[in-house]
Amino acid sequence: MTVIFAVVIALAAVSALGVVLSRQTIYSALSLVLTVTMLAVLFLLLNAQFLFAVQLIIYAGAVMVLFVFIVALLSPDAEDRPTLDLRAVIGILGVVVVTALVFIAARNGITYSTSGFHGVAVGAASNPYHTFNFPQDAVNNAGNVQTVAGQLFTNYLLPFEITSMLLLVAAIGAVYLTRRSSP
Amino acid sequence: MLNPNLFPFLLGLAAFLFTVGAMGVLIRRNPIVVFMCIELMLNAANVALVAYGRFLNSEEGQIFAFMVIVVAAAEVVVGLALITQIFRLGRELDVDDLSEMKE
Amino acid sequence: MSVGTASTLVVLVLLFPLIGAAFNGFLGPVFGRQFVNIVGTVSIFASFVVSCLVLANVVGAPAGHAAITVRLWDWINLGGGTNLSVGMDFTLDALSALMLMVITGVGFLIHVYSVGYMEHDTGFARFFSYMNFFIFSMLTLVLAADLVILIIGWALVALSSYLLIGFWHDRPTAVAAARKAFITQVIGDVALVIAAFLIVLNTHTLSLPNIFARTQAFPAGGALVTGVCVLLAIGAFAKSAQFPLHTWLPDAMEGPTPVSALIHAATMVTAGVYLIARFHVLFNLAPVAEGLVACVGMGTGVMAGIIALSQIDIKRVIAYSTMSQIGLMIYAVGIGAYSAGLFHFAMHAVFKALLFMAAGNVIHALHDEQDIRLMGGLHSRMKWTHLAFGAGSLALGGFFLFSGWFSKEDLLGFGTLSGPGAAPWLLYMVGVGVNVLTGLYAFRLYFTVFQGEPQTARGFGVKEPGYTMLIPVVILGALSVFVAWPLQFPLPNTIHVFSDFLSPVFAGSQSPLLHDPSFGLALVGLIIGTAASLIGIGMATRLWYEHRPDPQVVLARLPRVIPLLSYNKFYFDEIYDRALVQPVKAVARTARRVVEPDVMDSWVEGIGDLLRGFSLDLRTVQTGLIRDYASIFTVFAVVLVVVWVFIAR
Repeated sequence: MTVIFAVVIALAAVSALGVVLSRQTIYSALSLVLTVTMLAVLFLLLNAQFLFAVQLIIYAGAVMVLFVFIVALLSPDAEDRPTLDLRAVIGILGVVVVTALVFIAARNGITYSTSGFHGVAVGAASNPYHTFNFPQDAVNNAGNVQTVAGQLFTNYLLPFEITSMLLLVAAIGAVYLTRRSSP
Repeated sequence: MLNPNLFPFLLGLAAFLFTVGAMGVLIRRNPIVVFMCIELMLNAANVALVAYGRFLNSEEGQIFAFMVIVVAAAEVVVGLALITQIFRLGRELDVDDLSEMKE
Repeated sequence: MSVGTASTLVVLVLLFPLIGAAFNGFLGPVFGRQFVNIVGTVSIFASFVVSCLVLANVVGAPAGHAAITVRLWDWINLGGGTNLSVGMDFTLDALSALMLMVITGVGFLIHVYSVGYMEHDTGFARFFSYMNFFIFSMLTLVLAADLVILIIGWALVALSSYLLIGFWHDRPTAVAAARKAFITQVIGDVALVIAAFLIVLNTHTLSLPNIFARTQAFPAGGALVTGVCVLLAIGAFAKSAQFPLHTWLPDAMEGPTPVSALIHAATMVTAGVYLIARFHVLFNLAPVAEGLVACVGMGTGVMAGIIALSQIDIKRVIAYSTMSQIGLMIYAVGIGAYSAGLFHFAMHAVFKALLFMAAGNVIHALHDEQDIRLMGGLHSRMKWTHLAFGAGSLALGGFFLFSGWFSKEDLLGFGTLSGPGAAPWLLYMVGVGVNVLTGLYAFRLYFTVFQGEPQTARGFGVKEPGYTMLIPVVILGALSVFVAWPLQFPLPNTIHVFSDFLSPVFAGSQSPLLHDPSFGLALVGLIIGTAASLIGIGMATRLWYEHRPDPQVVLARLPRVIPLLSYNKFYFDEIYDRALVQPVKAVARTARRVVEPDVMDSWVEGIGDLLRGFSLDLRTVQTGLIRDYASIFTVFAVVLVVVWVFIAR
């Protein structure tokens, strides 16, 4: 089991690097497709079946297709080597620092409680994620479509409706922005 | 079945994806690639959300991530439309060139 | 007299000129010329009437009760343990009465004269206001019985003189002269104030009668009292235009002629004489200071006499003459001959004011011509002025039986035995020389201006001025002949009404420098002095009556040094300019060129530059490139993560 996780995580990381570091735009797009797919698999492994489907259909299936189409349409030239200026250094530093910090912090057990988020240093002897142990059947129920839909159409109805309006606005906006002015 | 020690790696992946995306925004000059890096950052957020949702046994993580995906889709549509317009106007597809925000 | 009478008289005599000044100053332009003229002259006349009352009271008072000091009110009460208070204290004694009579009497005549002189001037209201204010200041000075009041009067007199000398303030020469006078006066003021500090420190009182009663605080002949007296003397020299603070007086002739008559003949320049006379108690304790005063006075007398021989401006000749005569007065109070010095002061006020006003008549008639080389032949054309001027010149020159003769010979008579150092008769001989010089320059002036033929076309058409300018001149001319006859004869034990009148004031102590001459010695001195005056007048007649028109031609025959020194006023102005004025100007220039830009401005501009540089640097952040903005976001986001991880734990 752990092996699958490792492979997925590794592939996602590598293809993310590929997005950023490829000189041809189309390679970046394809790398992004791979990253997104790997993330979808990760979601599935994390018992988020609904999101797995959504990610594949919408993200990998629509958004990325749109990206590839635009790239093909505009055919941008390959970029020059990125220069190692201050911005690049900031970027690299950011990657290293933040990833390391977050990983180490998570290792040391940042717990979550209903009264707020604060870090508690927990002794190495006890399991830092003791709150994360839960019975098996609850796990099975938490991720499936029924449960998600139940929450989505009751507690989170307002955001749901607003995002649908957002989609409408985006569509209208795209049509308006790309029309050719009449001669 | 799930090893709780996996959690730091998931968060680490999220952080890694996010900062790599940020680095891409800083480094790349093609606006389409910059856009893709922004999408990468959004995905990183999704990973973190789903990881927490799993380990706290809550579906709220998925729901939030669902909203993020919807918003990302809308944003991609509008952004790419803009980029297409820029291309049609004959401007360079280079973020350094598109610097009308200068004083 | 009683306290009540004295207080009333003091208040009235001070109030009339002050009200006159206020009225003319504020309401004069509203009410017009007639109003101003009347208010200006009547106020001084009223003061004169009060002065006569004061004189009557002093003369009529029983012996020993002639002097009275009144306190009008307490001004500042320091309280505590110091017992110091400043009160509006004024003294009425023989000395005050004399000063009052001269100041208000001659002052009144000069005010009347000004009515005519300033007829065509648009600033008449301001002029009379200033003149009245000057009279007020001078009266405050001479009546003051409190050190602070004295200093206030002293300073107000300086202010008034500045206002009056610079009256025609659109003339740069007048403004410069006023400034020069004021600055020189300030030097005297500083000396006076320091002397006042020292006096208060030692006697613990500000009231003059108390100071004079506590002389035990000053060890006789000591350095303290000598220092105080020297400082007082410096103040006196500044006011009386004595060496070395004399350079302002000739320049002060830029003011209108009535101003010269009032201030620079009769009143302000005699304030120094008054000061030394008033403080005689202190001076008698410091023979060194007295000797200094005597030497400076006589020295100035000679120097001014030499300079007067070569000047060609009519008013400047008279100005140097004033300087010389005041030198004699200063010499007199220096050796302790107080009543002689004050007698000469009174006589001199009469004939010097007369000379100035007559000169003003001449200038007026010749339409503002002041160069004596361009005058002449006026004796037949301006008869009254000529007569008056002649009388004044004879008085000045010390001609037998004119007022000036009485006072000058009286003064010199004391000089035979009295004086500083081992050989007091040395200064006496110099004084005799001054008599010769006086006769010389006075009649050089007279002959050049009035005799001979007119030198310009204008001179042929002159006529006498109007009544207001003529009558005061004639009155003073008559006085300069007669006024001394009943007062004082320059031989001991003859007529001494004047000195008897003043003797209570000076009864307390006697100067160690003063020795009364015997009758025989005094007679010898009298003959020598008179002879000297007549020699001077005679030489002048011989030189200038016949060798007209050029008054300079005589001096040109002397060795070159003398005319040069004389004409250039012994180069004092040049010396002061080089030694004092230029260094100060250089410092100011340095301050302007170096200190201000580099030190002061650099601070101010430095802050501005700092901010400007900062904002310029800050501007570079706005590159317009998205990537730069994004990098800033990234940095802060990373910082946030770090903070969260380490601190929010």
